[in-house]
Formats: sequence, C-alpha cells, structure tokens
Amino acid sequence: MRWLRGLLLATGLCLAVPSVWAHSSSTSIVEVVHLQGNDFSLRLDLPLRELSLVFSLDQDQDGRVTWAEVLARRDQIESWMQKGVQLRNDQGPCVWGPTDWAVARYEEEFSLSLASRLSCEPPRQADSAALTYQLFFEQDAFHRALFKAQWGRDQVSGVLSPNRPEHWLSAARQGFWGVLWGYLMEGVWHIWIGADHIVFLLGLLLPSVLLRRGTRFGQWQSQSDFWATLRQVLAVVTAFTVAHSITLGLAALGLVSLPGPLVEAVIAASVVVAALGNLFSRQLGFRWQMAFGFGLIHGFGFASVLGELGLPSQQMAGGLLGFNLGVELGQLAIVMGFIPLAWWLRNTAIYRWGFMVAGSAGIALAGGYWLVERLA
Amino acid sequence: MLFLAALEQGDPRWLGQAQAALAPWWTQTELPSDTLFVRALIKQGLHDFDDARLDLKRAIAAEPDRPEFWSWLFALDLVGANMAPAGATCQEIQSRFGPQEGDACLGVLHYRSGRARDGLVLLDRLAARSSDRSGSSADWLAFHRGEARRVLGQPQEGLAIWLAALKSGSRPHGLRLAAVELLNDLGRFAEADRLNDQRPRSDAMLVQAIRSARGLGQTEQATALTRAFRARLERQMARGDMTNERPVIAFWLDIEQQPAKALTLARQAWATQREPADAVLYGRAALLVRDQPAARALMTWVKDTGFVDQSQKSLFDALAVSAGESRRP
Repeated sequence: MRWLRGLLLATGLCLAVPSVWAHSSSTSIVEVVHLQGNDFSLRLDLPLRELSLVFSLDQDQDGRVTWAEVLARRDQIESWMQKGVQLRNDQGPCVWGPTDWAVARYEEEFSLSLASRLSCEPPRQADSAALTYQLFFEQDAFHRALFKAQWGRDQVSGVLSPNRPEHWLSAARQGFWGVLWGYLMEGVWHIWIGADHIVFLLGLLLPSVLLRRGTRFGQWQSQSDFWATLRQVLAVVTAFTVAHSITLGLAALGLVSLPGPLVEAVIAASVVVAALGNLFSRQLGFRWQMAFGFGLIHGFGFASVLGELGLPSQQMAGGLLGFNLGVELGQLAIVMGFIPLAWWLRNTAIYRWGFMVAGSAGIALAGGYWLVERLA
Repeated sequence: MLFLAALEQGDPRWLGQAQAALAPWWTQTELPSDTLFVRALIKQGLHDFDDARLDLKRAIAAEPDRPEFWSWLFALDLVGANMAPAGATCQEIQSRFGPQEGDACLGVLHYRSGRARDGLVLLDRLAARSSDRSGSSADWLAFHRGEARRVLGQPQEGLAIWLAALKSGSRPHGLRLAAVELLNDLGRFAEADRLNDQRPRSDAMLVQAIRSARGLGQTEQATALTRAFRARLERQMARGDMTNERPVIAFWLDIEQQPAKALTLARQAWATQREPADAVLYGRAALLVRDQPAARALMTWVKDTGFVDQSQKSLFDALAVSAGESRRP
C-alpha cells in the first residue's frame, strides 16, 4: 500500500481539513495613538508562536518558550521589529523610543506585547503619517496585522497584508461640517462635565431674580420685572461668552498662553468670589463685569481641553467654532433650566435662604475646595 | 513537512508558511510536478478546489505514476460530491497501483455512496493485512473503518476503533476531532473533554469544548469558551477571512442557536464543498428555518451520491418530508 500515506493526506483525515482549518490564522495587533505634537504611542502584539519560529526562541527545545528565552533575544527582536514596523511622515521615519515588553494573552495563545513612543519631525504639509507593517510576511503568506489608530477624534482600523502593508493615518479626513459637529458635541459635553464652569455661572445667575432691600445680610426682595431679570441674565451670559471666546480662540491658535495650574486655580477662585459676592456684597451689580473678567480665564481652561482633543490642522476653524458653539449651547441649556425655576421660586423663603444663602455658601465651599486642591 | 504539521495539529498557519515558501512559483504553470502537487494541497486548504484540481491534473500529466497525485484527485472529487469521476479515479488507481490500493479507494467510495457494508468489508480486510499498527496508514484506516461503522448506524463500534487508534497512534487532529464530536453526540461529555486536551484548540475543537462544558453543566467554562470563540470569529471577520467554515456554522447552529445565520453560511459553503458533514449542517439549519429549497438541494445530493447515514436517518427523513417527498428513497 505504497500510496496509502498519500491517501491519508487526502481522503480520510484531510477531507475534514477544510472544516477544521477555519481558525487562528497568524495575526498581529497594532495600535497607534497620536499624542501631543508629533509624538505617537505604538503597541504591537506579536504572536509568540510565529516569533519563536523566526528567532528559534525555544533554545532548550523543550517545546515551551519561556520569558527568559524571549528576553535573551531582546536586542535582535527589537531591531527586527523596528525594521518591519515603521511610522513616517513627509519628513521621514519617526524615531522609536524605549520599548516596554510584556505578554498579552489572546484566548489560548500568547503574544509578545511591545509598547513604545515614536517621535516624528514636524510635517511640512498635512497632519498625516504612514504606518507600514512587514513582519512575518516572508514566513507566512496568510499573516495579517489588524491595526487601530486614533488621531484626535479620528479613529480608523483595518488590515495590513503582504499586498497592502501600508496605511496612511490622518487627523483631517472629515469635512468642515463633520468637524464642526464633532467638536460641538465635545463642547457641550465639556460644559456639562465641567462643574467649575457651571457653578461659576450659577453663582452669577442666582441673584438675577432678587433685589437688595437693605444693607444687612439677607435683606432681599424679589424682582417683579421679568424683563429686567432677563436683561441681567443676558448681560452675564453674553459677557461670559464673549470673554471666554476671546481667550479660547487666542489660546487655541497658540497666540496667548497661561500656565495651566494658574488658570485652574483662578477658575476655582472665580467660583469663590462669585458666591461670596452674593452673600456679602452690598449690591448685586457688577456681575456682568465679573463674568467678563473671569470669563477670560475660563476661556484658557476651555482651551486646555481643546488642546487635549487636538484641533485638526486643516479644519481648525471648524473645530474651534464647533467647540465654542458647543460650550455656548451647553451653557444655554443650564440657563434655560435654571431661570424659569428661579423666577417661579423667587418670592419664597426657600429661594432666598435655601438657594441664595445656602446655595451660594455651598458654591463658595466647593470653589474653596478646588482652590486648595489646585494650589496643593 | 509543513503540510503534515498542519494535518497533525489542525493548524492552518502552517499552510500560510508553505504558501510563503512557494510564493515565487505561485502563479506559474510550468513547474515540476512536486511543486504543482504541494501548491494543489495549499490551494485546497484555501478552498480553491478548482485550481487545486487543475494543478493535480498537470502534475499527473507529467508524472502519472505518483500515487499521491491520484489520491488527492480522488479526495477533491469527493469534496465536490463528484462520485462518477471519483469512481473513475479509483479504477485508475487500481490498474496502476494494484488491488490493495484500489480496495482502499473503493472502500471509502462505497461508504460515501450508500454501500457502507461493502466499503467496510474492504477496509477491514486491508486492516487485517496491514502490518502497520501505529503509523499514519493505521490512523487513516482507523478513521475510515470507524466512519464506515458510524454511517452504518454503529457509532459505539466506530468510536471504539477511533479511541483504540488514538491510544496507540500519533493522534492526528482529524481523528481526535471525529472521536470528540462523536463522544459529545453520544452524551459522553467527560470523555470528550478529556480527549480535547491539545492547546491551542482548533475552532472545531473549541466548538466541541463548548458542547462538552454545557453537557457537563459547567456554565462558567462554557461561557468563557463561547466568548473565546466569538473573539476568534471577530478577528477572522476583521481579517476578511472566510467565515463559512464548518466549525463556524456549527457555532451559530448549536451554540448561538441562530439557525438562519447558520443556514446562510451553510448555503455558501455548499457551493464549493458537498461532503456528508456539510450536508448534515446544511440540513439541520434548513429544517430549523423551514427552507424548502435547501431541503430539495440536499435531497438531490442524496440521490446523486446515494449517500446513506443511519446515524442521521431522522434528519434525512425530515428533509425528505420538507422537500415534498413522502419518504427518503
């Protein structure tokens, strides 16, 4: 039965082959995240089985690859990896930083997980970089790298293969309206989660439905002229908006900058000042001026958030406008929720003592807490 | 060697390595017969059966006295359920390589075309004459002798042959999978679980592991294994790999209990691959979804091949009814 061995490969066990070879083709994982400026973080999970075949990692040939056996080839693996995986822009290849080594588990198999930071030269033109992956392709025609990349708000994923080993990453793939909408949502989100901005604004708006009746503490009477209240609210909100828009724009464009810790501390102080003004000021005027003055500082705070998000270089106007509009809309939603309630309750002791006194005191305490925390 | 490793471990990555080694010759037609042969093996692993058959025919034209070329041609005929060409190939094998080689081929052809008892006689006779008790030839014979018995409605006897072979042989993936699947079918989950011990598991073995864990009431283990399978599937989809393989169809059918999804994939698979195992998955999904065209297609296949599987009698009877036939022929 000289052909039986051939038949073994064929008819019997092999006929099941198409059904059982459905799985676990050789796959690497690549994750790239754009950091500040021209730096990227890159994580690479390389299947240990394939790595072992390339580098003969199983030195003692016991059928197992130990961590020590992997580390013994550290220099060779890093050099090979840096040749096979490249990030470059129009100024040339980005430079690898030190690489952290770890093990990642994918179901029943292990991968070598390498993480590093790559620094690129500032690009001459567009914010884009090419990710090239060419590991294992010579050894395995079915090997693929699944990549995920994040650049600002842009996220892409895909497959790198022997036929398509390169993918261009870019920060500016969306059109003007797409960018505007995305940043608008970020602005709304930021004002809603930014408690210091909200309480500062509420602190300034609390007295809008009241008038000072005397000079003693707690001597207020309710406002009877709705239009006067509305004018005050509009003045405060407009002053705050104009002020923070100015500094947000200037800071986002890199024309003006202030140290972040100082900005954060002054924002906290603004909350305290606004609240204490409600409690101890002999008159309730100057609030739009306060909104304007501190609004300039709050604008720097918004700018730092925008800085973390990153503005797409080719859609800066859309991003800046969208973010600012988002902040205004978020702010407007708060005002529109608060003013009807305040107007409705203005004649009650609950408003005067509960909202105005206790509320302002609470805001002052919160601001004081943030101030101490941010100065620490 | 790489292909043997793939068979032994059920790991397709060896195939990728074989293709990489053949890359310079992947599109050429004027090649030595050995190269054409290896390329055919890789192509069939990629479900490119037509091209694989072409390469084999070229190899045979160049060297007609190579038995392995003919055996693979026979195998591909069976994958496509082309029983007449498979029979002709068996005759060619018999005339070129002798009666024993012919019996081996016919033994398989018989039990795949409704003559399991005749096939079993031939295969058992071969086993009695063979001096190889533990090598790959023995594994091959054991697989087919067991499968012929299972088809005859004697699953316990078939299983006993497989388990005995696994104790003494090299434990090839196909044989282990067959045994584990049958153990699960028979409700012998603990034994199936013990036999499913190689890591990492193939997709097919992972599906069987989930079945075993569920059968044993190991809910957490079953959930973890199901999650692992889903992760593999997601990765395959991200890679753009085929997802109409038997284990994936079985996963949707038995584990996720989504017969409509399983039916879609089984229908795709049926376009290129028409073996009994494909028919069973396709038929089960068709019945659950009440898909009459699929039932009719399967009944046509039964008539064309003459295939009879006593262990799946109720399935094929139900398909006959669904197809509008009163009883199975």
